[in-house]
Amino acid sequence: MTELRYERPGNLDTVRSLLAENGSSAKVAAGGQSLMLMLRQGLLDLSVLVDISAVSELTGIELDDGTVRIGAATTYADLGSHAITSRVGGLADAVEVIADPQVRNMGTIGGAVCHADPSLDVLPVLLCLEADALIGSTSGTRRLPLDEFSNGYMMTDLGEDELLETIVYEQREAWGSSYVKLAAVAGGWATVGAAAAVRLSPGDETIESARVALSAVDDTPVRAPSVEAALRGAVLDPADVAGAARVVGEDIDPIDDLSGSAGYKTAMAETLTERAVIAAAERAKGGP
Amino acid sequence: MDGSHRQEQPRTSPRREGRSVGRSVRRIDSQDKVLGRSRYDPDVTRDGMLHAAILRSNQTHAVVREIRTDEAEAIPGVECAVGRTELMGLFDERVRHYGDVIAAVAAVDERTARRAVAAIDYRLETLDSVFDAREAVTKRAPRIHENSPDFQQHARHAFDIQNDTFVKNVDDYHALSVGDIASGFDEADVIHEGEYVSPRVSHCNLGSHCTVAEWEGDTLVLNQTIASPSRSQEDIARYLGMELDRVRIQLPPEVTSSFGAKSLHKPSLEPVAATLARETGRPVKLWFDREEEFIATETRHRTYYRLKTGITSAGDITALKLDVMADTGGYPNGVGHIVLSNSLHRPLDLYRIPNYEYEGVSVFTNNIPGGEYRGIGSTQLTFALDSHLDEVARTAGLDPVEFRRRNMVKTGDVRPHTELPIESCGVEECLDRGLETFERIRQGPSDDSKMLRGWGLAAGTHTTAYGGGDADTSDCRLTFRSDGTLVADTAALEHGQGSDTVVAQIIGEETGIPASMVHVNRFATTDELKDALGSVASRTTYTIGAAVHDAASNLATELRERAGIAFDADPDQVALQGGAANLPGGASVSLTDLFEPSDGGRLVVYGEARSEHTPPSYGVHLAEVAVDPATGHVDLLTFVAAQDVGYAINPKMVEGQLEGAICHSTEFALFSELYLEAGVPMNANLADYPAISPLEMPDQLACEIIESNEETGPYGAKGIGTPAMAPVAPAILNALRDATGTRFRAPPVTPETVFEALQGGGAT
Repeated sequence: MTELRYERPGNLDTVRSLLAENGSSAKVAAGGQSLMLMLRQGLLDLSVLVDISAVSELTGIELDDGTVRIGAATTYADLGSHAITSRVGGLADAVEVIADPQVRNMGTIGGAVCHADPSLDVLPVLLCLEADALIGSTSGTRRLPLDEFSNGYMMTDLGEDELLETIVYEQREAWGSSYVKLAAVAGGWATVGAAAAVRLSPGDETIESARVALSAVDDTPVRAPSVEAALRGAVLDPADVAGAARVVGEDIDPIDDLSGSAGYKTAMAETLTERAVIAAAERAKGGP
Repeated sequence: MDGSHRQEQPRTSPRREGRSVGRSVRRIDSQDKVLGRSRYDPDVTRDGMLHAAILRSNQTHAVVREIRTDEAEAIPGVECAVGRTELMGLFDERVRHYGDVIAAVAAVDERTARRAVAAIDYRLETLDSVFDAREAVTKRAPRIHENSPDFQQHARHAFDIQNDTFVKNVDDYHALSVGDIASGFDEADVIHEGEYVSPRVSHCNLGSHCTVAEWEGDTLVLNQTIASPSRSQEDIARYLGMELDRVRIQLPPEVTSSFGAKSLHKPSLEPVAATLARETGRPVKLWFDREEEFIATETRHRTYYRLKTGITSAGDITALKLDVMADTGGYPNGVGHIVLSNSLHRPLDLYRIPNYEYEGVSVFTNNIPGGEYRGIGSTQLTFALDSHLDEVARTAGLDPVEFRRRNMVKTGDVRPHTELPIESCGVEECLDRGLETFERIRQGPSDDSKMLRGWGLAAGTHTTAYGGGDADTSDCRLTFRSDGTLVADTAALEHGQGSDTVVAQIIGEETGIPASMVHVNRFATTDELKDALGSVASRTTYTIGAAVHDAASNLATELRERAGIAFDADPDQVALQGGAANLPGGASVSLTDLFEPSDGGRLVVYGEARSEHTPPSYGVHLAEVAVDPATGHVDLLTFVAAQDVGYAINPKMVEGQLEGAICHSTEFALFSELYLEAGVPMNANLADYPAISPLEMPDQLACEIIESNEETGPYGAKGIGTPAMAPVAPAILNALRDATGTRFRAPPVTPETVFEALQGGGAT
């Protein structure tokens, strides 16, 4: 175990420089809700901890001509109380069921994305928003679709010297979204979670387009392209939605663990997908 | 017996204005706790204090062949490292469960101590393990201990095993036969059998175990919460091979919660800290982290029940055969005995059973040890018994309410296992008032055809205190000071249940001294004051409260006499109220003016109590659940807890006890278990162990307090903390049976279990 140096820079350039200088021996902490636990369990061997919570460029939410930018160090609580969230039902649903108020006050959206635990609730909602990650380093910035960001169980595409700085998505009118979750206890790890975003055809009778993503059923949070294809043009009817949801097994690969058997999770993925789509469609009704 | 009449219970202590007992007085400790001013075990600190950490076994059964501590001891700041067999106490070379002690370190801070633990080199030689109690008793099983090993545990007793399938690893054994079981089953028209198993639930106390051990000469002083100080003093002294009065247990200013977890010492807490303090000559703090709290303390015993009941077609119980097997885990601690004896007694405390046969065995395995947990044995027995009786009633086509009513004990009944009659029994009033309230507040059938709903009830009981006279005594000292304040030295531990406030209310009732002027102290084990058992077994109000009552009466007599002299009046005419002595004519004097110069500013009185009895407290609880068949999720809609508490000295705190019990037992029924795979815990942390929050509590919850006036208790009171546990889980599981048509016999019943059962894949 090495001695740990703690840095809390006030600007983005310093963060980038610290990461460039220290490489894999440095880790970024925002709310620390996942990282501190891993440190305490001895799962990480670090020499520098870079706390980004004081970097103003990395906190807060901006809305500019339909583009939403969420700073990576924005807490769940700040996200939950922001006006943009009231327009995205799925985000509000997800924030509400994350752990407890203490965790929501400290935990951040960037922390969730970078921790890349597939059971984190906010991730499938961001996939349904087709959000991108803005990644920075001393050599510049790059933009990566979020569904390419996590590339394995708790693994990401981030380089050693890179930092997730902003989550970006385009606001889309007329879409309704939702997130539904099953957990052993309220606020507990998701057994399964399903997010949906739906746009209805004029008259609200058929689904014009749908996006579905799930938590806790694969190595990464996953989109469900088979379900999305089955929903495209489907009649907005419980039986038709349930039929479409039933193909979700093709899109996921759950494992047996403490939260449930793979078989149960697959069954729940179907049920929750159906419920998420119905809830999202309800919110999409009467849209412009 | 005509059950349709509600018996009005006498109440010797009516509620009226100006009384101190019988009212929901605000807690006297709340402000300090809410403002963060209270100081608990981990706040105890000493000059030069070291911090300990323990190297724990990741194997379940092994011989420790080698321990090398030189590298650990070379780390700057490390003062001492000790291998298992060098520890004080009964440690041999074998580890017997995951988390058992291999070595321990004391260092200048906790971080260094934990680093040093990681630097200890050791070699374990794996032995065969056994994890299923049912296998552990057989002759093929590896021997973990000789039968009935002597670990200086309390409650160890001689026994004669009358079952030749119990060969090995027997911790304790009980058997009882009442009447003639064979003819009892012959008389029966319906016979039903069932098997049940209870979960390994953990207390999840917010405050984890912590001690500061220090040596004053050859006296060991342990500064910590321990709910049963005098019994633990004896256990620790014998375990460490010391004289009794060389062990002093000093409680911190405020104690942490217990729920049984802190009733007794833990092998890897006090002996380890004591050894390190002795080796270094400095005070040593040992504070368990959350994982240690799960693996190095104790859970409720996983207990296997087999029941067979015979009833007549009219619904009278003719025979009950009950077989119990409790998983003691790796070490004896005297608690297997309590699980077995409570499992033995409870059916007879609750129902009239003319023919009864009981056999119980507690068994060593290589699992995390079982220990005391709120309503020891009774909680899991009642889950099994009242689930089973619900099945019996359903099988026979009887109304579950009337079936229970027909067989319940009554006041005055003499139970076959004790010669003492039941002095107070409000169980039938619990049933009536519970049902009445439940009918009023339950939601009833759902409008949503996709949801399943059901309701159920269960009765349960647990005894108050330990009884037996000398085994259940308590002292109290009251020091009334001329500034109007009063210090009560008692054995009552304020674990959060409100005992300080109850003590103050009793004093206020007798002396008229306001609760706000009372400060409650907990005396240490070597004080001149004695107490047999501490704040366990729901004896705090009943036994300790009786001692406080005795002392307060003595103080009141003294104050009345002094006021009589001052007023030149008959002391019997003096009323003590609001910190003053008053005469009927309006004359009044402040109690502080009754001091005489020779008092030295303080009046000291003593009181004592001695409990012969163990009055059972009864409850009937009712639950309504909604089940989502598409997920298996169970929503607890409505819960009514009707509980006979004898007399509620503080009704709000009685409700608090009931609500807390509902929370604990809902975890037992639907949510929580420390999952072991081959003895290794899979969820020894609060992220993975599903401890519930108010969000899982019933949407509608009502507490009905029944007062049956227990003549032997202060103001008619009997216990509440532990008895409140028993009926909760079976009420929920009976409701779940009603909703789903499936009997769940192995809680916690998770959504997946319910889902599988509704899909037709589940058993039972």
